[in-house]
Amino acid sequence: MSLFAMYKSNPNPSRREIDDALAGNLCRCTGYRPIIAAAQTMARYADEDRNDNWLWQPGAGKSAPSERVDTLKKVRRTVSLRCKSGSRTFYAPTTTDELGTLIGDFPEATLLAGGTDVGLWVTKQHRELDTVIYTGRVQEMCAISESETDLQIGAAVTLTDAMPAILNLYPHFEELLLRFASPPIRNAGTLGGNIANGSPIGDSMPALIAANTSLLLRSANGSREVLLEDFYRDYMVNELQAGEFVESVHIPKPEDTDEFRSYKVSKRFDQDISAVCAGFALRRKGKKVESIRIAFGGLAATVRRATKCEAAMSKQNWSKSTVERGMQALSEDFTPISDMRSSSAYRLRVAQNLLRRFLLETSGKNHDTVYGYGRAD
Amino acid sequence: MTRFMVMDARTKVVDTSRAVGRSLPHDSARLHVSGEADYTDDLPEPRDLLHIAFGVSSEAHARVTAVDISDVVSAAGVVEVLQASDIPGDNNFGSIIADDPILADDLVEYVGHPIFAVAADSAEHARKAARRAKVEYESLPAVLNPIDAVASSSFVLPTEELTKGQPGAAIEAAQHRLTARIACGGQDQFYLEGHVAMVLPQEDGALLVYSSTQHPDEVQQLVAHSTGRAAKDVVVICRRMGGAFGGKETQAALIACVAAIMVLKTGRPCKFRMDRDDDMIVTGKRHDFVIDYDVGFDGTGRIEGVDFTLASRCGISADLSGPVNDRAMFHCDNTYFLENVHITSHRCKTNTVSNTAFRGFGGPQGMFAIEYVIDDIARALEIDPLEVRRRNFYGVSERNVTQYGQTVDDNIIADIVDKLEKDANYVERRQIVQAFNARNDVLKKGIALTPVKFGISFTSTILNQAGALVHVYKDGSVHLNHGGTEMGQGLYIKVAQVVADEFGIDVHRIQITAADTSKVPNASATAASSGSDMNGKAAQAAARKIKRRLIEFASRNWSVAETDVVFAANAVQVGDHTLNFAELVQAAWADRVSLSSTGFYKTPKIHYDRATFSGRPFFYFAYGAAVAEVIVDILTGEYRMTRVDIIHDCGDSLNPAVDLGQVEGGFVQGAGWLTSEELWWSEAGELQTHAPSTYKIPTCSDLPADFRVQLLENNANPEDSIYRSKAVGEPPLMLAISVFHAIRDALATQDNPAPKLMAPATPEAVLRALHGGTL
Repeated sequence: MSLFAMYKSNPNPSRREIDDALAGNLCRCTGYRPIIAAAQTMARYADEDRNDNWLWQPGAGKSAPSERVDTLKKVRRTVSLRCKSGSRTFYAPTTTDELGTLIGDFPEATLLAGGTDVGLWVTKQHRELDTVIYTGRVQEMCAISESETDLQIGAAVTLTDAMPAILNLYPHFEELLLRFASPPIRNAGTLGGNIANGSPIGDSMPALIAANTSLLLRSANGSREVLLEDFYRDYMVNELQAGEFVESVHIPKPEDTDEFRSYKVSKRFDQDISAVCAGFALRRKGKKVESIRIAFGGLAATVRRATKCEAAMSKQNWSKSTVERGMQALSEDFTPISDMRSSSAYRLRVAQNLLRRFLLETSGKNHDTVYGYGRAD
Repeated sequence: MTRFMVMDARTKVVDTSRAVGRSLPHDSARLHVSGEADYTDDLPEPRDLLHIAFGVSSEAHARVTAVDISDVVSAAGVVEVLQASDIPGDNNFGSIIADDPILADDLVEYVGHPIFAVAADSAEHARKAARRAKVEYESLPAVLNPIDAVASSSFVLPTEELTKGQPGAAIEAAQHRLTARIACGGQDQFYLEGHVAMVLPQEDGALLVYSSTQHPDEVQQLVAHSTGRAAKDVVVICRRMGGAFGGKETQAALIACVAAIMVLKTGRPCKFRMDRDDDMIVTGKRHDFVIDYDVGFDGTGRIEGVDFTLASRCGISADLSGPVNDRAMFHCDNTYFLENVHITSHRCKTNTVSNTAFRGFGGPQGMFAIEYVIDDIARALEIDPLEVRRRNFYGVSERNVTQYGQTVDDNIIADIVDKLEKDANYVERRQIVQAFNARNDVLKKGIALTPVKFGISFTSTILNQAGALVHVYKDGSVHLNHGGTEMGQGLYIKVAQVVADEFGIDVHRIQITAADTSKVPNASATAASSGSDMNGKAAQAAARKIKRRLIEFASRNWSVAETDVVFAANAVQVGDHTLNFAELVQAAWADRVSLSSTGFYKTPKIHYDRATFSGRPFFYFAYGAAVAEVIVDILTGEYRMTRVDIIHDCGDSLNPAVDLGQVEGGFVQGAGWLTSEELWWSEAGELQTHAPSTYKIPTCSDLPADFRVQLLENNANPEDSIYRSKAVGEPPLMLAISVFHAIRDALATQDNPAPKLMAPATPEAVLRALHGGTL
């Protein structure tokens, strides 16, 4: 199915595009070579006799006959929904007002977006969710908009739609997209869900905190804005009050001269949960650090800023010795845990080394620091 | 850009009138791709089917003082709960030694040890209910790793030793000496189809078992024993598995036995399909090893004497740990002549799940040991490791006796390595790698060439036997059955090619049928890479018996010499007369000729005395070699394979396309074992890596950008194997040792010439090795 989706949209994919399309499809027998070979040759599978048939035409995913698109649009419902089964109720509101009222009425309800985590509560933990409120039909929350100063991403916007908008402003956050889940998961999962779920190993937050992102929180009583870095209080505990939800994510537009990076480190390149995930934002004045914002995931109970590290480097020359002081200070910022993903010592060492990598990549010399597609080869 | 160079048999001159030696597609290829292939869980479900889940221990080692199942019994959909005392026959699924209870009684020995099984109207209900039991424990001290097990003499089987020559004296007298402790991790089979069995009650107490198993005969025996029946009362069928890799050799019996006992208890058909987490927690894996070595060598890197102490994590019971560890002892030489060697093998009892077969079966761990020694010698002497490898290769006519007394009389490793060195441009690329490293601070490249020699045959001689059953119907179509099981490896198409070749007919005239204990009895497991060798020969024997009768009939009927009856291209030449195959069969039937036959095969030449670890355990050896190149990010320890070249020996391949798939898949699986696949236990002995979210097998992007695989050509097996082919299931896995040593090569510096890299070489392990073992 993953290959078929690519066949419809991109019949002549690069190896990286094939790898990305198949990142969520494990194979234990073949070693993948024949599957990649099939992907590389699938454009040839077009059946000449059936070229008028949308289904069999490669690359026709974006130019489907209009009547088919119309039919599919009609299938998508835009009305509010309530389904009840025994003690369990499922709501799908269509406006933020309606959503606010529902959450106010059912503060214990589970808010469901893409279901990429909530699904596991049910299938793996066998939890029974009595009241579920689905955000995917709330029109305002499915929109991306831009102001003079901000990129505003509705909390129910999928990762597939949100990522290009973010990368458009922050091209150096590319590792976010490169290593963040697989297409089916990105098609379902939402940026708001990743943030609101608030896992300490959520991959979007370090970069977004570095970029000084804020959230618009809303309830039946009104709305308020909080900085993403202030949103997390403790392990899986956040700022949301009873009846409140994340409506949208506001990412400031960057200054041209600022430097940004996002790095992810895990046991396996694709489809793995971070051992460490980092976001960096640097503003320089001459040779000196005017301000630096550094956020890490995987080092503490929440994704958070490395304030001691930042302070150690602020107003100093952006240099090896400054960064070494910053690396030292990082060990005062964080005391990471050891688990099956990595040890405490490794997490800290890697966090320090990522700061070094950030220096190397922003110090003007053409260092090969990351091996990947289209990079050092 | 991605480059694949694949030996394509279709471009070679092949005799298309013959069924063997051709790259025919897997018989189920279309069904696999379209999703129409039936796996055990896809079979139509009978009315009143019940579903099963295990309730398991949360303690690593404890007395069970009370089990309160009242909340389980009262849970939605629950029909029955089974405990050890309910088992009508033997509470055991241990295959060699009866030390593996199906359900723990008053003693639990690992976290995940099944205590009871619950049957409900749905899998969801069964799984939910299983969590509601209240179990009380009295904790006992737990042994959680091989090192602690050795220290406390905790073993599942006695320690074994093997000595050849005068290792102690040779090591003492050697010019150089090195000692070290190294380790390699275990590995979960991670077959995509998890364990599953469906058992249907038959009339008069008989049982029909559909099981995803590599060993239907053993499932039949153990289901019979645990239900108080005889083998005649149980039929086990397996059409195919969605991968097995050794994990369904002994482990499948546990699942089938529980389902069968539940059938007897409820009178209803039962299915037991484990979910992934339970499967990974409750069933065995590859053994992790801790290895101590002490080696003496001369100034050229030639080994004078070596002493190995192997300690493996066997888990709570013997299972297959005896033969697994024996095979590790037999592969501590790999392709190298060890004149003076001593091997101690500890089979450690640990309070973790009982480990079992996994592709390579101890061989990979043995080879890992000697390859590490060779690499360390090269690094100590500052010689290219390839040169040290060559200096230690077995000779062809001298220096060719293994530590277990078998003469290596089919040695082709030097030729393979010479060709690979040239084809992969090893010498020049090694220089390029060094130049790259000289100008890069963060990214470092490494390259390594490692060889493989793998012994083919079950080390237990009695298992080297196989049976087949062939029917020829009046219309000339053929029904083929044999004791081998299909797990995606292509065994069935290969055996069908053998039978087609014998009758001179197209493969599509043969119906390949499910492994079935009522058709071929007493079959060995499809394991030890022996599937095509043994079942191919057995099926050939069956086909030849029928062919003999057809020849005899044709000769008599048409008054021609028997030598004038020739089968080819779906036709039979009888003197000047040509019939199609079906016409001959029809005529023979009318003459009342039997058109059905069994076939039997036992591997010749092998003999082996386990008491002295000597003899000829292997019919022949399979060889291969690989060059891997990697690039490592020394800031994070992450790495990528940039290029891999492989030459592998399949003898005269029965089916090059299928064999190529085994080589590629085996290599990638081996790379997973040595890199990203890490089993991690908590201090309480809980396996924390029991799902794809935490246990990381290779993904698509882990395949090297440049991957060049060749099967060695013009390369008949000197032994009389089936069409002079060679077994290919396991040997290619060990080609991946090249990846491990390429990573190690990338980390080596002037200050740290022999980095202490341990397997799996996760990014963390890499960073540790860079920093002298600690972070």
